[in-house]
Amino acid sequence: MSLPNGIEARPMAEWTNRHENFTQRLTPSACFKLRIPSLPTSQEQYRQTTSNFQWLIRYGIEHNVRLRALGKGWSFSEVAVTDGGLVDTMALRQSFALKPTMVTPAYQTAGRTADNLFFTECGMSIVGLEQQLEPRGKSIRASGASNGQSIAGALSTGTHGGAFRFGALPETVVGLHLVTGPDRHVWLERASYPVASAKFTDWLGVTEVLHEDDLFNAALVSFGSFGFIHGVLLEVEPLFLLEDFSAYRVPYREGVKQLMTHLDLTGLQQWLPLPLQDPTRQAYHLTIIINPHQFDPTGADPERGVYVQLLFKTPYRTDYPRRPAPAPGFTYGDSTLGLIETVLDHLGSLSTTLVPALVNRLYPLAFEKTNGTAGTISETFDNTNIRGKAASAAIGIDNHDVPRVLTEIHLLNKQLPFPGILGLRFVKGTRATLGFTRFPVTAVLEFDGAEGRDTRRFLEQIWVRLETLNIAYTLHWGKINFNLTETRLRRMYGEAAVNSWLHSRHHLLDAPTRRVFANAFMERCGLDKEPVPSPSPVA
Amino acid sequence: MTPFQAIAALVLAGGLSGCMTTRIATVYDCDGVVNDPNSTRLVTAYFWGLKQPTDIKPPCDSRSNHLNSVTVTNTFGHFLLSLVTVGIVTKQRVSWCCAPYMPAVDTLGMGPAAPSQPSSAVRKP
Repeated sequence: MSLPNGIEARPMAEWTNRHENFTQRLTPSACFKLRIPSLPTSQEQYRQTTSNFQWLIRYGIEHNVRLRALGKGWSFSEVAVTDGGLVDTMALRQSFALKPTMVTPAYQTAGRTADNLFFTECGMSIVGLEQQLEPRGKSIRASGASNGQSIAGALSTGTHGGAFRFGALPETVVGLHLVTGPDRHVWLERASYPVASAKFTDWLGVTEVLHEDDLFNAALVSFGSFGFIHGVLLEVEPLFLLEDFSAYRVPYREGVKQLMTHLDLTGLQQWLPLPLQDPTRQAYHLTIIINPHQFDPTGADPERGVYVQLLFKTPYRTDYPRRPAPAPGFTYGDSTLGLIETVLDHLGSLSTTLVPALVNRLYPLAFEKTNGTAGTISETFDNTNIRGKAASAAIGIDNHDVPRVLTEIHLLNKQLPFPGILGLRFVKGTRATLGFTRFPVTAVLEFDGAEGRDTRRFLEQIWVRLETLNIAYTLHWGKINFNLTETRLRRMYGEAAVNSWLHSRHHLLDAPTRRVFANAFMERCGLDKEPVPSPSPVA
Repeated sequence: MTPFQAIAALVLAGGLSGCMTTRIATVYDCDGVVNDPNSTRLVTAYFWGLKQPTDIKPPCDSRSNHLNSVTVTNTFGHFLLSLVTVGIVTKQRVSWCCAPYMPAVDTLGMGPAAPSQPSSAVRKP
């Protein structure tokens, strides 16, 4: 088969995700890799890649094979894979700054500048983006806890970080170039937030320009099911530093509870020297980490407190106390977590005794001594230190519900010890229709640990308990979420939001293209269905 | 679980998973997907290293043509094989990660307008 300039065959019979908790069977002949085509100008390269995406969609339709663009493979769920062909887009890394002629006057008259816009292809990693932006004196506005994901993958699964006054990564996106059919590719942005000028969309050569809030909000978190995301327009900002204030053990008392439920920082002054009166420093990122096996919910035992980290945003300067390089020596290996899982799975009831000791032993490895240091966003959220096989689940809850949920987890952990630790991050609610950070302030409660039977049993019990107590929650699309069904999904997001998302997908993709971009995960969640027809307006 | 079962489980675990991994990394970023079987090779040396595998030449993008990381994994099975054959057969799994080719940031809107294209059909609600 003769392939267009920029497409290579990349046969894979099966593929395992980064954290090695599932392996997906594939159609080997349907897997491809895209590269930046060898052509003289950046515009020709970009447009040829658009044609290559269209070629792939045509291939999928003609061969009746499903396709999925794969990001960095960080997802723990099968949301981003298919039993058809995977398309490796990680080499697509063209990026562009924009001059004012490329931006609509409405955007600029609102006091914004083209200087803070950055357009990049889908394969750009977050670390790559940072490498492009920081030398230009710019920074991305939000990041996950690590920077290894691709921009399109991180966006499409709602990577959240902990920017409690800004939001998750999708909030940084103001325009999308979507390839939605063998003969169609569109520029999409909000009607309420127009950005691109006709000159920009002409440069792309799109077949349509769509200004619609509902369409845009649906496409933001759509895990690769709205066609191929070719380009992403991001709002960035002047380079800034994040100053780190953290304490290893803070008793779980009123100060911490007020922090979690009302984002009130004042109760922490005893434990952290926070710059609350300094107008040049804004609280930006909040993380709380809990070892469930060393947690005293009464707050009486200060040795059984929680780790609190607050990052304050401040203008960039060159003379700042940098984060220390990782200490040399041994760390746990790529196989350690897999080994622990295998042992625990074979120990039966003995694992109940072994798990707390094991977690207590490994818990200190989760921390670096960064209190008092500062760093750019790339220095703060750099490569992940999780190695090899791991499990991670995350639920989104309203931050007011955190103390209740922690009480339930504490009780459950007494009966069924969780082989891992808990992390809480707080994120401003998203506008993405199916963004899992959907509460006004979403507390993202993460369960990180060894993959295995004990972990899955623990997670199942938590999910059941939340439902029994009628505590509203959502599930991270890219983390362990094997309990997600159509019924649960509709309960989490509401009928209107799910139907709106389906309508948007139906509007953007015709039936043959929708089939190319469906997968088993979507079928399980009812997201491959036709939208429910809108009720006829009353005359 | 009896002590025998516990030891058996440990041996099983060791046999099923890599027990020694060495990674050399410059930047944790690759131009391809993780765990791509096309970027991994099982290499074999024979007769105490007298017969070595040929050098691997990864098909990285010629415009950058650099590696960002190499990972070498020895499993418990590889160790056993070397032990049983007294070093006559030695195996290792080698994976590599090509550095992504990242063209310099281009700036749009600097020069004259782009060549004329069919004008975009703009639709607003």
